[in-house]
Amino acid sequence: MSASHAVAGGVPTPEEAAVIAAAVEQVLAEARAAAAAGAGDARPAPYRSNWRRTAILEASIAMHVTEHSPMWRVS
Amino acid sequence: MSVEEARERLQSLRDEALHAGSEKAVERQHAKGKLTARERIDLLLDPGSFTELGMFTRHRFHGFGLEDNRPWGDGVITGHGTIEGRRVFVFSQDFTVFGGSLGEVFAEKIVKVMDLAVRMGCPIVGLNDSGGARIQEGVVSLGGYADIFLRNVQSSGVIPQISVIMGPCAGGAVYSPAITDFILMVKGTSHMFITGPEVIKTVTGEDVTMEELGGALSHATRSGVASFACEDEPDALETVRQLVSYMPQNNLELPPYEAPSDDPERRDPELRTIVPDAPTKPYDIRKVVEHVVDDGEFLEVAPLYASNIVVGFARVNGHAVGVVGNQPKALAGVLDINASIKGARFVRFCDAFNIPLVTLVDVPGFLPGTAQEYGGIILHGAKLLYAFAEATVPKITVITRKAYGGAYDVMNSKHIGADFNAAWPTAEVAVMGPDGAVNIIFRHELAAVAADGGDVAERRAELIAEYKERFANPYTAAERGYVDEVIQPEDTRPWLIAALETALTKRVQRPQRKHGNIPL
Repeated sequence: MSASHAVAGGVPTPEEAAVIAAAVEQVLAEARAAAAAGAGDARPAPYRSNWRRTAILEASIAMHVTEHSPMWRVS
Repeated sequence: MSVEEARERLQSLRDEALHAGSEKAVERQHAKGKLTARERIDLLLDPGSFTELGMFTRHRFHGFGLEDNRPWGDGVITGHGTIEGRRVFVFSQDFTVFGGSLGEVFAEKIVKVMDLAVRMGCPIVGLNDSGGARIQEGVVSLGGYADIFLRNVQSSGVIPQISVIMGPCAGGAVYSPAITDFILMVKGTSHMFITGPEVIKTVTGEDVTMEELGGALSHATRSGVASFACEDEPDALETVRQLVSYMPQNNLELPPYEAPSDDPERRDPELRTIVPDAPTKPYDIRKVVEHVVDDGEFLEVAPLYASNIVVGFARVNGHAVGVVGNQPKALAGVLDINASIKGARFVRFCDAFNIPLVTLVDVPGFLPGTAQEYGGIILHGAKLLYAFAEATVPKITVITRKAYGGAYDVMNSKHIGADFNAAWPTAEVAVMGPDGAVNIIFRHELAAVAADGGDVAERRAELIAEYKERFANPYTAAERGYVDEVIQPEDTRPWLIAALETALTKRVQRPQRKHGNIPL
């Protein structure tokens, strides 16, 4: 790392860098776990299921409206 | 004009628009027991949530003196607001302005909120109170109706559409509500018909009153057009709020989840004794529903029509479900033309809007008779079969007693796609009831007994007992996996919750097609 990219207080030692990386990883892991547990969403897990969402999308058929096409026409 | 003058002008115009109907017209409306268009919106929506669109629209028509009378709003109030915090679009026809008659601008306003509703993915509620087409505007009015019909069709299965009939709705105007998902009528003050009593008298000679022909009770009991016959207007608007609480905003969203207060492990001992010992004795399937679902709350749809099948909305551990059940209390729960149509339409609504289906089966078969055969029970019964088979939402079935013949297949059997099904120990899954089966299978033997001078009744009773032991139970079907489990009645709620919550993430792929060809 060049001197111009050095952070204030100096360049972290390899040990310090490892501690920082571990801390970042821990924060990210906690965020992922909270998202998986539905933080901020009191509904049961199936309400956040990508599988279920995809099932709904797959079951919906694109409308083929060709006449008087309103502006919300899907396809 | 100064800013202050401009502000005052706006306020003055708003006041005019808010009182577009004359005082006399409002008095007449109230005297009939009806609310005004704005009063209805206030009752329907959360307080203060209504945002009006198009308050200053006016008709552009010249002729018949209409050019001298251009009230703000043109007789229909449109906009959006919330029901329990969820956005809905609304139009409310104003009978105090031109009798709520539909002209070009009136129709444009409705079309505009319909387009917005489907673009934003929100339900639309139409409050209908209209004298029909604005005759002075001629064919333009008819075009306006057709513009609305087209949007009703294109929105069908995309956003929930609810119609409340709160006054007259006659002629072609009926076809917009007819296409929507639910029609609510108000007893005594709402009427729907294609042609009125006078025309009927002229054409066919029949004498019929307006109430008999197109009143709320006629359509709730005889034609099946009305899903609800409400006591008064506030009752109708409250029912809309309840209905909406079970529905998602659109076909790509899930129905609202409501954290349950009822114990998911609740085992209701009363369920043990609901099914009588005698197989021909009736009981009320609604009691089964009420003992199983959350807090016993069940919003029954079309309770007065084809009461041999019960359909409605409830919650199971907080999840909104559509319930379909045969009703042994009415016609022994048999499937007939009307019950098939009622059931099929409800199943299709639930499927379109991702609402899981819970089916309770106690069905002795299809109703025999020439009236049913000539009336097309073959085609109409197939509608229910088609609807269940086509549905891709979670499908759970509980057989409480009889599941006979083709009706067993139709009532969301494992074979047509039920994800999980259970039978109570009292269930009888068989081709037909024991009496009929013995008469056919053992007809030669019984004839021989008779020819030999034997006791036919005694032998018949023995054979019936044997048949019951062998077939009139749930275990023959369970052996083959046609039912997943035989459960004690009191275990139904915990079993149903486990089944439903497992099936919530169901994913089914169907072959691509334009649309199926349901036997209409």
